[in-house]
Amino acid sequence: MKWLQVSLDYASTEYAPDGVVQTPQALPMRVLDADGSLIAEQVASTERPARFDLSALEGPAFVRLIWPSGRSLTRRVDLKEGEDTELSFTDTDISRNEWAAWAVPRLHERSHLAAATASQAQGSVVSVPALEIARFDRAWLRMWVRTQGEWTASRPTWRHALRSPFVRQLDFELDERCHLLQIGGGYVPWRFVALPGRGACRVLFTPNQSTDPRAEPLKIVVSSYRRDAENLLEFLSRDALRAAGALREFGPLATRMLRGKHEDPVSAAAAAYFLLRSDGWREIPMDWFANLSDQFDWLADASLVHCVAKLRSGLASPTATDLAIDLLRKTMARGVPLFSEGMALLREAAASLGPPTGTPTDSLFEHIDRLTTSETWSGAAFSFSGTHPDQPTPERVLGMPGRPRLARRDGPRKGEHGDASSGSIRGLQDAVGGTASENAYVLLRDLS
Amino acid sequence: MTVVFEAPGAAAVPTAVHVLAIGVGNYPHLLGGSGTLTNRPLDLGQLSSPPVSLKAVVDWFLAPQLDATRVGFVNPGAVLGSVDALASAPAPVQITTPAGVMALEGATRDRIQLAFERWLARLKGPGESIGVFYFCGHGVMAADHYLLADDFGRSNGAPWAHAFDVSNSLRGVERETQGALYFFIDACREISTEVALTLGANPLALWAADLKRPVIRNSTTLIEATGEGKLAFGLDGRVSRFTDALITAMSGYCGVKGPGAATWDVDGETLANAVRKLLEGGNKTAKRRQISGQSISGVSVPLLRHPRAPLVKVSLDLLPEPMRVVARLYLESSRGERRVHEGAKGPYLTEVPRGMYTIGAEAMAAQFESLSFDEDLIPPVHDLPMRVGP
Repeated sequence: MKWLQVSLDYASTEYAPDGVVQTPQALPMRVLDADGSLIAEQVASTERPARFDLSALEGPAFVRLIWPSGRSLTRRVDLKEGEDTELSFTDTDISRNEWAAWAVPRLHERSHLAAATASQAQGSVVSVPALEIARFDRAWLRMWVRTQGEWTASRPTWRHALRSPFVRQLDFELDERCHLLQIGGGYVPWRFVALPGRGACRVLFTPNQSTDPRAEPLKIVVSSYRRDAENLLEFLSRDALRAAGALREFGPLATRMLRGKHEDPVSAAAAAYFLLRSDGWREIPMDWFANLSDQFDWLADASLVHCVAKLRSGLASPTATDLAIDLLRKTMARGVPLFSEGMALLREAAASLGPPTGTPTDSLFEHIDRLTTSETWSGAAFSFSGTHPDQPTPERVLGMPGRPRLARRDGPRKGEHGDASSGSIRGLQDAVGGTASENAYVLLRDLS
Repeated sequence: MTVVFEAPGAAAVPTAVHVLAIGVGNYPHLLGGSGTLTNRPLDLGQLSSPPVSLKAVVDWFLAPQLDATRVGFVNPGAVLGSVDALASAPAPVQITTPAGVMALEGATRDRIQLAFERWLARLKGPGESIGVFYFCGHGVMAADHYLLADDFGRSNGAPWAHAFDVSNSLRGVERETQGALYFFIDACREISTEVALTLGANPLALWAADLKRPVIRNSTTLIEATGEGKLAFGLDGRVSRFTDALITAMSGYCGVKGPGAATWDVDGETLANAVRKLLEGGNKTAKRRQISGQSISGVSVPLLRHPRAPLVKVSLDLLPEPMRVVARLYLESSRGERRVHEGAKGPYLTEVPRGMYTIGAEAMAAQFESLSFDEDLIPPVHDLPMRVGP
């Protein structure tokens, strides 16, 4: 027999504020042979190593650790017959600030924090020059909260803030309502990012060094300390279904997701998103979706996954169709979903349930059309561009609160030092308006 | 003629692959077209790449039918059942098929509708067939993706009557067929989304979803080009960059071999990753960047099954250049096979089977300390720029 035990020693990613309980970091591991054939796949967490029986493998094993960002790290292991072999992936080279290390597995490999890993691990491989976050000092933040069907804006208040030359980080404590963090600036297009309510929430800001022209200049990573569930959704947002599937099978997560919805409805919603993506929804009773939707009326994701589960199972009667439309209305009444998976489901539900072509439109479906057309990329977090949560727009709006302007369509999308030419004002207004718009924000440079 | 290939008895085969490919470069009612210019041409004109790209895709699927040694569609678990194709170009597009050379019909909205319905009827046959839908031409991205047939703009009163909503078409098909669906959409985004929202665009789907029926397909893969304007297509008259990446990826530059499997399988996730990485590689030299987006759902159903391990396009370099000139760059597989390249000849560009390699640089005469890295070469491309000195 040949056994291989692989542990994930990512202690620095465990940093959390006092009193906050978080689930362990858990990541998929693949064992490959020398040709790259897959031998086995499991998940290791910071609390539970993966254990592989590799008795049938001839020659060395190669263990590939996969990050939600898509980056992989591979280590060679020479196994001996009749012996247990141990391998550990460590985080000693992940980040210069251990308080920001939690986000590194979710950052683009060109990001300074992640690239530090590559350059330190590989010595003389050419690395990417780092961008300092000071270039975004004039970017601003505003918090929006959904209360009784209305959005209100305020200056964000946080429990704790941390900063380094490359990162700003905020810790929030949020109640059971829908929260949106809005960010904008002279060179940062205005956008909203959904924050999970019902507990502690952390947000990290760092310059985005992705070369994708769709990438926003400032990367935002959100955590509510459900790191296994968040990793799963991060994999889904990149269509990495194999890795997401491996995580979904991981015992502690699987149990919490499907059986523990009363304690953790956000993880349960993550499970539902995975089931809808992987076709596993057919094996789950519709009551499960209904209960999630009924019991957590502040969670837009809950009614949305119920709506789409019904839609996909077939709407056999007008009553069933009305119920599905009602669930979609509830979803939008609750605010917006927390996770980017919700964007595709909103699109699917609105296109399927909306009025037929050529008939009068309904404001619900018009709003969803604009919202989904305004999608922006923030990994697993639901994100869209606009001036007000109820006024999403695919146009790129720049400027300080109270002074929005349209970015030229072919203008640069990255960084504070670009030549971001503005377009015509075209009646754009900051939806907060007046004195409130001047006070209801904070600059990124003032986070401390 | 639109049916360019139909395997004998394919209708009775449990798992067949049915292809519908459409390329629209000739738009008579848009700028520079031969017909009456529509009142609102949306600044859209003629495209030279789509007919060429369409032909490349169809040729690729048919290649092994014409010569078993040629690179093309391969899947021991599924036969090529049929290939339907439509192309609009100034001159008819000719396809060499096992039955001889055929000229394709133009891709008008009506012909697309008929071809789509025929394609769907084949997919609804026994078993779980795999459907491949390919489109290259003008497109508009709003909440859904709209594609323009060659007669777009023929009617000023109903300009969108000659377009179709491919997103809703896919949703409709998902309730009709049990097998896997692969949609490849190579349509650039020349119209801003804001303009698209104000157009009143409302094209019909090619197959309306019957919401009384459940979703029954087992897998959906949608891979879309999302480049910046028509230049993202590539050079005039050449295969588009997205289609080139797609064909390259399918030609043995991606694949996963599962535990106990005999073949390297290409499913939606694997293919989408490979296309994205090939496009990223091309963006280093292209003036306009081309990127792709994807949506993968359901279980993994391979479109292709290759008998050999996929290849990786490797690029090794050593900086600064004067050090490369006096260096040997090398690759050594975990089985001990070593390839060496004289740095004086330039960066080392080669192709090797996927797997683990030791990669490094050695000085000819101790000009620098040797470099060595263990690298997991994952298809389709692997670039490793190395540096010596400060």
